[in-house]
Amino acid sequence: MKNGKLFNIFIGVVVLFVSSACILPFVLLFISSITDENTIIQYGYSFFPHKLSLAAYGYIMTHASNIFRAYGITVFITAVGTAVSLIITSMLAYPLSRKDLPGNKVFTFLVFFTVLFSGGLVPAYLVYTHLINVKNSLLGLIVPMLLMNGFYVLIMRTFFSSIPKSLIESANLDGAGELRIFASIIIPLSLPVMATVGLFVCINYWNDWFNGMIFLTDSKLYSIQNYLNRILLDIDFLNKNNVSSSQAEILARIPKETVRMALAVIGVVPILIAYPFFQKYFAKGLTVGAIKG
Amino acid sequence: MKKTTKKLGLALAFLFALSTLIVGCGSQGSTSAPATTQTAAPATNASVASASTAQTLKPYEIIFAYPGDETKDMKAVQDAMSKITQEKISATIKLMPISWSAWAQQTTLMIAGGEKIDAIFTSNYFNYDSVVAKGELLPIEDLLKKYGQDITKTVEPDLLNCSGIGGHLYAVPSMRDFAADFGVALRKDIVDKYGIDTSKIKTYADLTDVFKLVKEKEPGMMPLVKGDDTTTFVEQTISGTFDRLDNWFGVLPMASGDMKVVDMYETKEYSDALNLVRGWFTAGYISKDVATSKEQGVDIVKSGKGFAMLVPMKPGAELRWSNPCATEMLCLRFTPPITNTSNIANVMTSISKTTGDADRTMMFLNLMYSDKDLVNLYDNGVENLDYVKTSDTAIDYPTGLSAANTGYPSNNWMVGNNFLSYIWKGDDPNLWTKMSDFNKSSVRSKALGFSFNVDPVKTEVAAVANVQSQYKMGLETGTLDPAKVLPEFVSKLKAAGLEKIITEKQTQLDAWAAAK
Repeated sequence: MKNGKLFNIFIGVVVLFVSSACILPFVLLFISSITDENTIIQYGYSFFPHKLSLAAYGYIMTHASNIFRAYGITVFITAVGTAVSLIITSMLAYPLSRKDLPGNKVFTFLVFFTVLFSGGLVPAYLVYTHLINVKNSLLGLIVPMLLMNGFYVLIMRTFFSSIPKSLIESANLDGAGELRIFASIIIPLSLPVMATVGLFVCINYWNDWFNGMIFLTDSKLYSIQNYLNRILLDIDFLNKNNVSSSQAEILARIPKETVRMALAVIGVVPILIAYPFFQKYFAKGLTVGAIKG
Repeated sequence: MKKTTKKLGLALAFLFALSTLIVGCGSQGSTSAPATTQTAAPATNASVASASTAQTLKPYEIIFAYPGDETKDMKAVQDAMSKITQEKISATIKLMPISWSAWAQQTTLMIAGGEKIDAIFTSNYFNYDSVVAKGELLPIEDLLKKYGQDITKTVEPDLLNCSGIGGHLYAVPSMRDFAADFGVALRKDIVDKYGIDTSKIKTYADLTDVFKLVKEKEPGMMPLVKGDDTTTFVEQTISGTFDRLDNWFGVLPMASGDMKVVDMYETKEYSDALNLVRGWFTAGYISKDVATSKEQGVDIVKSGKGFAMLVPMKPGAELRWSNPCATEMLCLRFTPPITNTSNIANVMTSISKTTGDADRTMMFLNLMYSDKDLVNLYDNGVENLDYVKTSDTAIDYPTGLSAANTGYPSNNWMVGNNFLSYIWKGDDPNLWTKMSDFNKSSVRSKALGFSFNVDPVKTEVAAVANVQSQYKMGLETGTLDPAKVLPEFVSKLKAAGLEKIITEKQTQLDAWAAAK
């Protein structure tokens, strides 16, 4: 009994350390973002800054209308992208999980092949811009690289194969067609894997800036990550190059170190909020995948 | 077993079929656009030849891609520019800013994908030589002769030749500060406080005593902080001594009479500079974490923790450095202004191979070197919207606007003949004359106009650059002891193939000099 208590305390301490190692950086990130710029340069980053200031958020607020617009775009592409991605991923994964599909192995191999190899950037760009013109459109943020991922198809297929065949057979006997079986039997039983893959896809969409960098020149379509990335690089660039005195004047006013932190806070907060809602499925999905291999 | 191999074979066959299909689409896409341009070009050629007046030219839209961001008044500027070009060359302008962060990737993909771009910004900052090697740009020397008279009039041949690679020109440099001199920027209040006689400071070595004084009297202040992220102290001090010939691997001493490429890392000048900076470092004049710190020098000076920076100069450098430091900076120049190929090839404009009408694009570029109104539109925006005239040559922001909230931030260095543009209030009223004198008074490298073609020694350059990045920051900021590390550095450079690069560079330089 005593031993057990000691062990509990020991575990508690370990978990406390591990979790603070995860949380403290975020706390420091937030505190730095509300620290005065000069304080950071003079005394370095600190949990207890000498002087607080909201100048960084003030600077970001001067771009507020653009930032809200970019937020809207990100939310839109994340919602639409995740939904469409889940639908087509599951609709590909389900047939692959059925042993009675003709050519099952071939199709599975094709999917698996894309996990190992990719066509490279230039061919991908050519296909996306010439075959389906995604340049400077929201499609460019949704379709390329993110919509389908062979790895997620394989995860789902594994999960679907774990659903007893007899369920499908009995539904069949009751007169349900394939689509009906998929929608009314398979999907409700697969919520854990849907949530897991959904979370992955969702985070990928939320964090993506690469598609924006490749396919967008119209800044009205920038997602939030593109936009934040651009503010940062602009500051960097103005710093590095010979600029005229009027530009140097703007530079003098931008709180650089703290803006970086404030931007990171703005970028990460929504994901932090969304995560707890997914969490219970997330844990279940992982263990299910682990047992079945 | 046999069954599975058969299936595998089937799968592979299907895959190959699929891949050829995709490749087919891709290559078709990439070739179709240039093909149309080739057929289109002669047609307009003929029309130009038959009639030289603008009215008979077919209407055309010139897409001009440059790094930057879309701004509020860009459309207005574009329309105003189009109005001028419509009248003169029967073409409209479409400005296509691409953000700095995406520039290299996007332009490469766009040109590879055959998307139409006419005029395009190029720079050795964005690997001009490899852009040319990939065939993204059109050679322009014939076009210059036909339609670029104002360009050849404005830009001296020596400067124009700086864009030459393998016997062809691919770009025209914008008119701006071509030369650079090097020196130190000091906080004026501190200099005055201790009565430091700046006229006695003639070389970098003279700074040692000043740093010593500041270190003793101002304990909270670091005597020397870095100027920017990428340039080291030693690089600043030797920039006036050598022409780097693109990449520092094999350099040309500015003072020498012949065209002999030398290994800079083995020169006395280099080791002297290392020892000087190392001395500063061990005496505590430089912060211990300077090699890894990401803090900007100007920020440190601004927060009152730094005294001096080694920075490149130009006319108006005092304002350039005083503004971001939020305190008056005194600029001491230790070298005469120097012009070399790298300075020129920094900011240029080219014609993309995906242009639909190379002739017209050249006519547009030519206008950017001769038409004052057009240059001012691109550089400063629309009059009374983005600026108001305060005199014939000077402009200021309209009431209510400032550099922070203007709808079109000034861009007066990127394209064309910027000396034609108005001068902003706050800058020297004679800025362009001074800059032009500065350019003329500069010492020109004997290799001005030579650019090194890395292709034959690509592997060696990559290997040498690896070694360089391993040692450079440590050595050139004084963090590592040159007595111990320099010999190691030099021998590793040699092992990586530095000598082969130098031999190749020498061959190319000799050929270039002979051709000249």
